Amino acid sequence: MFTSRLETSPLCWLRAIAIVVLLAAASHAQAVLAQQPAVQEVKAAKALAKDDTKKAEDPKSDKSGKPGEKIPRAFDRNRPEPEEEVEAPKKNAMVNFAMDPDRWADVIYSQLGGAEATFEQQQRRRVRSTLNRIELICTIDEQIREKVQATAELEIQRFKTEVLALAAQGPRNPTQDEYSEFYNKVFKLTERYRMQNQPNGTRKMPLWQKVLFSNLSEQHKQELEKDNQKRAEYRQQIVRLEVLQRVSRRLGLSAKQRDKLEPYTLSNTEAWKTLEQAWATLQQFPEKEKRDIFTPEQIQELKKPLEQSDDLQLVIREFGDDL
Amino acid sequence: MFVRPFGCWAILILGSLANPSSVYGQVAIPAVRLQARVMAAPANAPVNDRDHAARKWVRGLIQQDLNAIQTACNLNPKQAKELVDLIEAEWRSKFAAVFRSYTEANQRGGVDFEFRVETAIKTWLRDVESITEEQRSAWNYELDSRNALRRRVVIGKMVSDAERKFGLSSKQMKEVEALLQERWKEAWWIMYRNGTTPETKFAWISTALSDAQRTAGADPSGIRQEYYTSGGAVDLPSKSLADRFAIAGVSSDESIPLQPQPAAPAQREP
Repeated sequence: MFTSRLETSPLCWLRAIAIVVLLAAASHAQAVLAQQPAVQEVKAAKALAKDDTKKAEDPKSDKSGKPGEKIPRAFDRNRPEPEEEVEAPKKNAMVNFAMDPDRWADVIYSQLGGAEATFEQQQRRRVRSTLNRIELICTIDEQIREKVQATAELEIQRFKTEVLALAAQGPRNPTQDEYSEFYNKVFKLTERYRMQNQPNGTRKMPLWQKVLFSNLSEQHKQELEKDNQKRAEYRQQIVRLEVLQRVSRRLGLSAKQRDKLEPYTLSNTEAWKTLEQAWATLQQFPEKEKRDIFTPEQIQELKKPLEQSDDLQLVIREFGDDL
Repeated sequence: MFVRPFGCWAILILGSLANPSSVYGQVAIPAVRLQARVMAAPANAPVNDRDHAARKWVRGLIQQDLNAIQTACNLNPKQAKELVDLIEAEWRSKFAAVFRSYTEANQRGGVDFEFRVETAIKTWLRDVESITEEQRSAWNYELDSRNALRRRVVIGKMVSDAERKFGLSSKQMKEVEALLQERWKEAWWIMYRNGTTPETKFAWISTALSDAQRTAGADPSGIRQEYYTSGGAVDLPSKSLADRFAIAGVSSDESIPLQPQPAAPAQREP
């Protein structure tokens, strides 16, 4: 029956062929659709890998630009700003000597015997020690104590600010001349604190000491000055005795001779600060005094110059102190 | 074929007999030469400049102590002769270790000439029987006086250090001085002489401090600068190795051989 209908109607044939063709096209389309995501994934992965390697090679590459459309840097309006323009070192700059503010700050604090923290610690200790010493001689109110300490703290902070300001001005790649010039500024800034270590006559009194002094009575000031003198005299006496001991070793003095010589050390204290000074002074003693103190052998010995040695020798600089 | 290498070896061996140093190579040559020089030099001669300087200083110190002995003890000619002969004969053997240690020391310190000389002279005075006990005690008094001065100097330096570290008043300085006098050790002088001021321990002086000072503790920074410098004046007297010891116009006996001086300025060892 069916065959008879096919045979009978050519339109049916056409319909059947069209259906078969449509079915075949649909199944092909489905297969193609099923394959497409896998291909896209592989392509995307390849593209990503390409980007990664490119980024690794050139981290500052233009983000918006496509690989084929790279704009030359000179014409690129959106090129990133350089982080910092580093000044090229001058031709006569000191080799391997690049400085920055931190390093300059270290240089400044090293003038005062250490780092920033050491400086702060030293200053605070200095105040505390002075106050403790004064309290042994006269009473200080808690209020004055706090006031003095607060002043000292302010001075420390002010100095730290000054250090930062100066360090920021320091040359990056200094030539020898620039370095020397800047170092003079450093020297000047630190002078105030270095001068604290110098004998009383030459140093400038720090503010906290002025505050402290202004709160002391005249009587207390005198007592403190007296104590200060006694302590200084003790130190100087020990220096003189040491020189006398060295002279005694050099000349082989007896106990009696040392006793005779000791008053001379008091009459001219400046001459008995070092062995060289004392030796020169003794050489210039009047003959009569020489004969009174020394034996003929010692007088002969005194005519000789002091021998020099290239051994390392300890040098101690004695300083005055606060109050 | 075998004759030729053997011939070369034979020439080498024969050559070495004529000039042995050529066999040892370049490194060995100085050692061989040095050995030859030392062997050729008279016994106990100074080996270099430092050794020579050390010997002269020791001789200088001995001579000065002899002068001081005469001032303090007033020896008679017989005593003087005995003492000076003994010292001239023995001084080298007594101080061999001192010379050696000074020669070997490249840096500061390590050798206290003065203390060694004083100890040796004390022994020599004991060995000379004709010297009386009174004279010995007179010399001991001198030594005690020297030690007292050294003690004052070292303790004074320690007190000055403590003053800076703990913020002492003048009254406290006296108290601390008394406390340190009680703790005196001879080693402190040796240490000071070698360039280091002994440390004043907090525990030793804490009784002299106020409560606030005890709480604050020591200031490690101090207001003092110490540094080492190369060279400077020496406080040691010097006496030539060619000059004989003398006391009260009496010199050591001519029969005692003097130490020969180095012929030419010796080269300093590297």
